[in-house]
Amino acid sequence: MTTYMLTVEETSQTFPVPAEIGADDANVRRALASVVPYIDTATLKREEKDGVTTITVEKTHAPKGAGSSLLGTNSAAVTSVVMRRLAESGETGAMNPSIELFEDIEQHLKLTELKPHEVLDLDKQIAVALQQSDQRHDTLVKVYRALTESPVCPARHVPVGF
Amino acid sequence: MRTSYPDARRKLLRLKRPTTRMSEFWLNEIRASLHVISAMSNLYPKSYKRKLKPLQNAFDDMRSRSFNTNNGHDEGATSATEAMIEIIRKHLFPLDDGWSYDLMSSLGDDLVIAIEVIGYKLNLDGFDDLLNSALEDGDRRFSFPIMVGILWGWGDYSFDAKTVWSACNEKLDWGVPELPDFHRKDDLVLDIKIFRRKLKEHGLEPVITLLEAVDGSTGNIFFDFDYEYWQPPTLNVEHLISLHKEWEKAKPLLDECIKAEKLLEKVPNAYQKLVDAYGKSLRPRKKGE
Repeated sequence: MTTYMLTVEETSQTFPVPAEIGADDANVRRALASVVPYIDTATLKREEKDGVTTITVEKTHAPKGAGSSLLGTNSAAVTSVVMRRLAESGETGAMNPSIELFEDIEQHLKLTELKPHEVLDLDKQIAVALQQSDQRHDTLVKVYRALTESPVCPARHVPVGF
Repeated sequence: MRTSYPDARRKLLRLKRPTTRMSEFWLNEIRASLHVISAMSNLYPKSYKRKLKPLQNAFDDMRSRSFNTNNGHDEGATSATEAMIEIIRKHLFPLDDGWSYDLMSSLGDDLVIAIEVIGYKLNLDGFDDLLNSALEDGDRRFSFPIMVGILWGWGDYSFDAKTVWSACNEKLDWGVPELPDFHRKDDLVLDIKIFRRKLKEHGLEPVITLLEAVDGSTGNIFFDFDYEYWQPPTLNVEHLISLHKEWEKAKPLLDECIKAEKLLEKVPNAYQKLVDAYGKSLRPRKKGE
């Protein structure tokens, strides 16, 4: 019967683990989830010698952010979905309407030379931009409130890079 | 190509993206300015661009004045607001000095304008102060409103009206020692048509305008407006244009009032003639009047 020894490289700790855990990488990761914060992205190396399998946990310096993971973990897949959704939402990169309009006016208009109908048009544009800006502010306040008021719960996965 | 220091500074400042709060503040300021621009282009179609030059300069300098402050603007009125005030004063109508001096930020904040009210209107609350001041130093500038105020029964004086009238007559040199018997008669009203005719007979016709100004019944906002009772006008194109037209009508009324004041000083026994004409122009009050 094979004996399993676990070595955490970072802390140089070595200890035996039961066969039902040591036999499978996924079980090892699950078992260490509460004590090794980077376990989700760590590399597990196995070496067998004289009937003893040593599993070495090596910390991996994975890319930060939500890019595709070289490891192909579930967390990367989930984060990619989030980023893709954000990219498809049409909001990504969009500037606040009041900033956009102000910069546009500042760069391109001689206000005192506008014709009467152009003045009316700009007045409407400003009214719309200010209204949209208010709406965006309200949305941000709601999101912020929802986030700060959300109860804490354990994460199901460790985000890529952390 | 050479560039000036202010121009270079302006261009560099524009590289920095403003915050939402600053952009909203400036957009409101621009929006207020658009009302002034529209009103000016309506009233001065040929020369409005030249007249609006201070405003364009203020727009160009918008960022250099206020970029690093927390709320988007320095203490005191912004340069665009200062330019708007200057333009309104110079080309449209007079503004209240105290209000424009105290204006701490932007016309875009609350979109109201405080017009300068020509100070002829007699105020019930201020009448006693006016009376005391005239009796103390004999200042004849307020001679007419004080006489009218006593005839209308105004004032909360500790002596009876006859004594006050007599003191005023002596101090202000009215030449009318006795308080007229029509004083404070609520069942009588002044017939303006008759009064005008009577005043004309004495060469005092402009006094009718002065009386309306003191009463606050000229029909012109610059004479009749009272901040105690009404909100200041909103800043918009319609108000700016109509206030300008009102001011154009107020000017001849003001001339008429000044003329009346001079006549009251110049015409012999003017106050006696005035009281006489007033008394002869009273008629019984009609039902519902």
